[in-house]
Amino acid sequence: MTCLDEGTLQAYLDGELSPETLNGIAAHLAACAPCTEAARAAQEELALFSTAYTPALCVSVPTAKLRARLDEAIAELNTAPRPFATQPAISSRLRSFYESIVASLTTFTPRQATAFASFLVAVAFAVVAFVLTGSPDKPNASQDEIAKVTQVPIPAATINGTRGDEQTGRDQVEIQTPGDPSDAPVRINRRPSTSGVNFINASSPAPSGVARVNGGSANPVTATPKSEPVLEDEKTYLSSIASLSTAIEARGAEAMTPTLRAEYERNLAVVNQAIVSSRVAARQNPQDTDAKDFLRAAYQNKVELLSAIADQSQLASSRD
Amino acid sequence: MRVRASKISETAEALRNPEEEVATPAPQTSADANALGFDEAFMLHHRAVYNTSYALLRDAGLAEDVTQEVFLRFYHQLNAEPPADEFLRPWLLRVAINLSHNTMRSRTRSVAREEEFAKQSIGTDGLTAPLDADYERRTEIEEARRVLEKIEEPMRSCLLLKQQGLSYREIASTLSINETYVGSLVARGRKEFARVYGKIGGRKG
Repeated sequence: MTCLDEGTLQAYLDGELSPETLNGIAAHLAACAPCTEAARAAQEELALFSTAYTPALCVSVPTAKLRARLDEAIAELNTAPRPFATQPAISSRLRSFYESIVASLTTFTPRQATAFASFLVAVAFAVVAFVLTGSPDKPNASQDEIAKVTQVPIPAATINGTRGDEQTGRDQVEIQTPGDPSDAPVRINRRPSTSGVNFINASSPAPSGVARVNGGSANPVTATPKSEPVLEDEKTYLSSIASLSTAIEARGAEAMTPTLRAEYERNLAVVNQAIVSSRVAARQNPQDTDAKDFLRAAYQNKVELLSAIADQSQLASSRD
Repeated sequence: MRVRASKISETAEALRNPEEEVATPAPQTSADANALGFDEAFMLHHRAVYNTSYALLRDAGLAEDVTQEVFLRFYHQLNAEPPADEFLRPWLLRVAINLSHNTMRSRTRSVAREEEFAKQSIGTDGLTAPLDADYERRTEIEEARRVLEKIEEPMRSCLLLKQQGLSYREIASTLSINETYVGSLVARGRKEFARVYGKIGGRKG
């Protein structure tokens, strides 16, 4: 017997072979070392796949919900009037209306044609008379409006980049300041929240919520962020801290013992003070990598402190 | 051998680019067909349909939508030509796989922009590290799902269906391939899984 191909070997391992074939293959495997080795490797790979992927299949199936949805859909199917029944009626009515118009336009009698031509001539005369009687000196209203608009000073704009109710696409507002030609146009890129989900945390101190403003400093729009990130990954730390703080407040504020809470607040004050002082140092010396390292370590300390508190409060709340 | 390879590649192409409007497959009926009623079919197979859709879509809401659509099509089919019992599960899973692929394709188009925006707004992926103890386990499951996604069709569907307990005959019927090819497709799929899983997870395959 020749050596087994991978398909036959796999079918053998999966118990998909007929009893006659099975006996022959078992005998061959007992005698052939390479095939035995291939079978062992295949079993290992199968075990790996099974171990790794089986948990992914263990999802809870919402049987009751599915059944309710199906029953509702089937009930709708059986009770609702069929949409296809009315569709041809509407289209046929439209078609007959269109055909009647086309028929009336294409079947001109000589008398109708003469009447239509005289009507066109009358309209042409009326238009010419109107143009000639109009005063050429009268200022154009639209030009006047444009002139007025150019004199109106542009008010200082208030930019709020965290609004979640904007439904339009990405807005690009361009404000041209006519009085100061040296200023470049101010472009404000506002990104909307999508699908009703506000990805930007308004309460977060992270500067991610501030609108991006590019322009000269002389512009009336001065929405430059108050605190620009000192570290590249500062936003990451701030977001982590915000989410941990929210979790602690939501879950563990009541679960925390007074002692734990006092300790938490004391440690938090220390860590916050460290962040403030190292941040000031890092801002004053942007090139100083040590200052940045201190700031990063301070942030890390705060994240670790909050994580520990969150774990403890979670433990306490689960024990209750 | 060439005929065999071309047949497999045709199936792969069909699974990669399913028709936008999923055609309900013609049911395979037998002379002594004793078709199951709707309720029995739902009770027996809704788990397999939901699990298959969820495995492909990785979204509970979308998997529910697909499952509902699959059984609605079966409901319509009951009045026409219901599939025989032995072909019912493959029929349902075939509709589920096709619908899931279509859903995935439309979702990829519409959601990609939102996801990109979310990443940019928040900064990096996975910022909000969950505090629960299952984090590591869920990461491993996600990893296994990602690896399976990297396996090409029809090997991926073969592995997925086999893991759900379908026989070679049912897999062949679901994917419209010859039953004799299923063994080698499963073998190639598990080899590829072990290779990619070893690479991503740093494990020895």
